[in-house]
Amino acid sequence: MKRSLAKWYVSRSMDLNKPLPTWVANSIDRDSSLRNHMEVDRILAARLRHDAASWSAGDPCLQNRKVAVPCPSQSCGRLWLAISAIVLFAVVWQLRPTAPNPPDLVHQTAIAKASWRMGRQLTERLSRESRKTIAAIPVLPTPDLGTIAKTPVEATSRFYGRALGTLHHSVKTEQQQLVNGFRRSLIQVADQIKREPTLPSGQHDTKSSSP
Amino acid sequence: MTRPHHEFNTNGNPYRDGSKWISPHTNLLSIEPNDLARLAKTGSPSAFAELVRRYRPGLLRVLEKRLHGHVDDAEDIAQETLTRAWQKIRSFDERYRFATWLYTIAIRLAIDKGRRRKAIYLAADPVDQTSLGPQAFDRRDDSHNLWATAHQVLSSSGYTALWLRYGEDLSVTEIAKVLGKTKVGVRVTLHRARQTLAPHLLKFMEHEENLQRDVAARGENR
Repeated sequence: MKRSLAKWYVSRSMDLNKPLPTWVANSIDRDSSLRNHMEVDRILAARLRHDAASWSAGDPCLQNRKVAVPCPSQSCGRLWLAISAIVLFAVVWQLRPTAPNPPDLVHQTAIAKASWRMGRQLTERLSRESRKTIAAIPVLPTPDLGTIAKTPVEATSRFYGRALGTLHHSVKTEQQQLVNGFRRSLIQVADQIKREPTLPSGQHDTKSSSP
Repeated sequence: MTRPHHEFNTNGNPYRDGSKWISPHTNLLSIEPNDLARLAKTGSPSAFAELVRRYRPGLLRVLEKRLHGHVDDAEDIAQETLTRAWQKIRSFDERYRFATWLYTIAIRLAIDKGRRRKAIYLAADPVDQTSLGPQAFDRRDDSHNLWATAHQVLSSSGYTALWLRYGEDLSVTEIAKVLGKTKVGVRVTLHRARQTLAPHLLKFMEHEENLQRDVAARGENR
């Protein structure tokens, strides 16, 4: 107990540059293990000071390394969902019956319904796949820190730009997927409609044909 | 409110710090960190670049240890720390050391990051530095460096306290300020860290003695 207390006082004197209490100094004179402890502490401090320069000289920065990145927050998903909704709206708007003739009404309604259904399926599928897409995108490398001092504004924008750049990249990929998906779905819808015989004019759903 | 005793100017002329004059043409390598910070405050980007050069490696080591070996996060925090330091350099109080101020920013950012990514850090295995390839830490020459051992065997708080004490030469009071601990808490952390490292130091010393003996024996044989 007394030895532990003496060790603590040795540490205290090292950290605060204070002289040792008399009883601790006397104990050190008598006790060889305490003397060793004090000596080891001094050597340790000297050695740590000496080695610090060479330790910090080895820069642990990893440049241009691609790493797996966890999926960004849900806001990215919300963003592309909004984009897909806008694209869907545009497609539906293009396909809307502007001045339908009575015989074409059923056909147009079928197209609208089918495209809406396919669009919804596509949206759900993309929603499921988006995590994979975003997670697979590599992180852009960290910009050079040496530029901070010379061009601080640029450096700051670069720092935040990395995140934005990654997000932009992911959104672009999502957009491309969306466009490709729509193209495929529209071709499928067109094929489906071609194959299906046109319903007789008396059998169509009155609810769906209403504006 | 007391005015600082030194004089600044922003037109590139020398400034006076008490009895000392510092010219912008002075070799930056020979200037003390606080003087560099003063120069940076006057708008000298090269002075701040020199500060970045001096403090960035140590900052990265400490942050990497605190962030459970996630070097990318450590890089990000170091980058943000230095960017913030440059942006807020005018608010730096020269009564304190620049290292204290810089590490305070870094540790707070690291705590914030650690809090937000706690689940990820807890879920993931500790990063194996040897698997990161040739661009990762070059630890081949660190086998004789006591800091490499400290990095492995100490806790993050112990390593940080020890680095600030012996790497940055901060006092216990300054370390307490950086880490947000009491002075006694810091002393306990330092004491424990030294106790943990002491057996490793003895091993180092034995190894070096053996090497010296080998060298001496070879010399005698020749």
